[in-house]
Amino acid sequence: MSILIDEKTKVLVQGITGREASLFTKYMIDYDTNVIGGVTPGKGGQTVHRVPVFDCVSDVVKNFGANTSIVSVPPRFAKDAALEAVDANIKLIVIFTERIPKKDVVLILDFAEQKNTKVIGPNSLGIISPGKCKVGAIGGPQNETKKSYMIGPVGIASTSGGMTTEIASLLTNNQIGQSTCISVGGDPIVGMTFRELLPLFEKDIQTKTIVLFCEPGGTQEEDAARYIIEHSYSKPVIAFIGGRFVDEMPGMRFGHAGVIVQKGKGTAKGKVEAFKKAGVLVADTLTQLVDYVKDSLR
Amino acid sequence: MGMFVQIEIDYNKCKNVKNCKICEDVCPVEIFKFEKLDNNRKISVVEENIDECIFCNLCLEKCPQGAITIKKLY
Amino acid sequence: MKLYEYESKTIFKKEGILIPDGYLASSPEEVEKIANNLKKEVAIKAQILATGRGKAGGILFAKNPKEAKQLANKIFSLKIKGFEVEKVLVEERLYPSSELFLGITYDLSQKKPVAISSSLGGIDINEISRKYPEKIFTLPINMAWGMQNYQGKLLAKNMGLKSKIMFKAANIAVKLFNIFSKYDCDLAEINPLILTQDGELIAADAHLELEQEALYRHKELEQLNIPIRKDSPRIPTEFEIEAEKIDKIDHRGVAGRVVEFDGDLGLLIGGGGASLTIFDAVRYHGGKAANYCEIGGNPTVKKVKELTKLILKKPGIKGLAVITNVLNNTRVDLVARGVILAMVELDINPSEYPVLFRSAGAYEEDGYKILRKYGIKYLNRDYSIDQAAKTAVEMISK
Repeated sequence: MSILIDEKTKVLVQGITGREASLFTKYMIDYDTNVIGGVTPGKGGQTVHRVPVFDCVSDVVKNFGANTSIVSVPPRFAKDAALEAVDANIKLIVIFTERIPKKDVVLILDFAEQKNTKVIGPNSLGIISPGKCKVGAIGGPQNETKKSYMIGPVGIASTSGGMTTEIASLLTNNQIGQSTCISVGGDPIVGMTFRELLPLFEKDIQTKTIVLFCEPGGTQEEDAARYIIEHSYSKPVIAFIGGRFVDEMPGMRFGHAGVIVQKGKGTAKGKVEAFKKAGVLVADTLTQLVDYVKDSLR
Repeated sequence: MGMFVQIEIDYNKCKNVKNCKICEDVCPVEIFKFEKLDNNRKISVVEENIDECIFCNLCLEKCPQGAITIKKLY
Repeated sequence: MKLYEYESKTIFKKEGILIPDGYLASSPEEVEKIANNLKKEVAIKAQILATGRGKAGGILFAKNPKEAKQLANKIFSLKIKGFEVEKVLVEERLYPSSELFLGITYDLSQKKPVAISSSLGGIDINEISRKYPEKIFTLPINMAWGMQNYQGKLLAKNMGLKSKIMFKAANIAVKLFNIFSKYDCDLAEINPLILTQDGELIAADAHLELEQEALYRHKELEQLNIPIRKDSPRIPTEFEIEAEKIDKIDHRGVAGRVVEFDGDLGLLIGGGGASLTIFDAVRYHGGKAANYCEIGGNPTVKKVKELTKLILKKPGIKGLAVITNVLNNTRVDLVARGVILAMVELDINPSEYPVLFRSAGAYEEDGYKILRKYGIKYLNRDYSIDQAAKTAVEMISK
């Protein structure tokens, strides 16, 4: 098992002819991901790394049955691309593009909710279920992906793509593998947050422990903590919060667009407290994080 | 010559081709520059960009004369 | 991008929300002239991009033009939260029978716009929600539908309004939402919305914040005389300005977003969540950072080089820590090249200078080869960010 993506995932790449998209398309194929088609309006008929390119999402869905899409188009085209994918009954959309205006994001999420479509991102590096499939640029080139990720019992969800790979690599170094790792995206408003991913991890037999990488700003952590209390969550959750220093510098943005502490809201301190109340272990250092994960798996 | 990369053009091969600037077109990091130089040379290597070379080897593949050589200096 | 009150009011006026009669002035003489023309008692309001100007003496009322000039003198000499007062708005003075609150923002948890109304206007909304949470009414709005009249009515009713005035307020709420949507706002707020003694509803203050990411599609701002700019909570230092210039050398990747600190350990650290983690780790192990920065998205060698040079030249620097997460797309070898080139150009011997390099991921083998050739100590993925930070801190405290 794993969540969101596995061997049955058939990936469509929206914006496949772009510089970054064509690069990670290659990395996905190298990882044995089933990339069945790409879309770049006006470039139908071309191929990218032997993947056929189409003008419309519905062409790919009709002909090949894509169930997952990764959207990597410039911000101004992202709303259109994502809505097209939702309309074509794609079940999971991962949005790689960053800097999409909030209004567009909200419209995408509204429509996705109506059609029961899951959305990861915007500003997501991607998802990987080690040994099975990866969607997006997560892990980088094949060699590095294999060094960083291995099959195992830990589910990771992270607001940072870079830290998803960092934490996975740290666990892999300690012979601890992963079930599914998700870069949820660093923007203020994203599709699936920790709160929505936790129930999926709970149902997944492979996942024994969940690691969350969090940042100041937003309400994801508080929402997740509330969910854990209200639903008597059954699996151990371990959190690490990067950017505690941001608390001391209100009004300033660090790292991601969502990382900002304003008027005492979204502080790292508040998130640590919320987690502790919910019985979530909060690691002070990454070394401690590994120890907590090891303990939880005993 | 850069500190990490050495790129050379064999002008004996390069100058045979009129107005060819394939290397400039394919290079993603702008190492080659097409301009009027002395003795019929048209392509030069931009010194300050040499260390930007990412060894994509597109110039080697696409140069019709095989005039370019690239060496790692580390 | 935060707008000044007068800029927000330009938009209000265009979109049909009633505002007080008023004009912008940049000297006490102009204030006197405007007060003379208005032929009324006036309010003089400092135009700054920070809240709390009322308490700081940035809003004063004058009975006649002469008094207006005197009071304007006072306001122009103020410094409010570090901001000089360069412009004031001179408006007819309003006589409220009540002050109300109306605002629209995004609820990050519900992932929707949310409208907020209250019968208590004129004070900070955070203060209201702390002291009188029962006086605050919130209503999620569907972005695709926009705000409907019945929702405006609900908001108005919860401001304690009835009959004709309720409909007027509902209408303002709908218009405010339309502004929020049309101009890609992060925040649209009227505080206070004033109910005058003769039954008019007027936006006495106006506060709009436009989303930075959406500014590209708002060319109309130029025609409204609203220049596009970047918000900064404090004035950037010389060092930060230089760093920003470096990041703008070309569009490839990021090597910048620098914040200056007064420590002795120069940092060149990975972007996004990694930079947050690394900066924390340095502090956790007792290190004093000279700067925060971000490298990511595979920047050019030149950008890394220039940023490294800037950091190395900073007075008081005792050493340099180059620490990144396991990289997905930024190339380790390109970062290594940039760092070494910087040292060579500054006549620093890389094998003697206290520098620690911890990176892994894309093109790590090439990167390590370069570092070995120049004798730079490096750590690979077998060492965590933590251990790297600790090693770097120990390196310069020896």
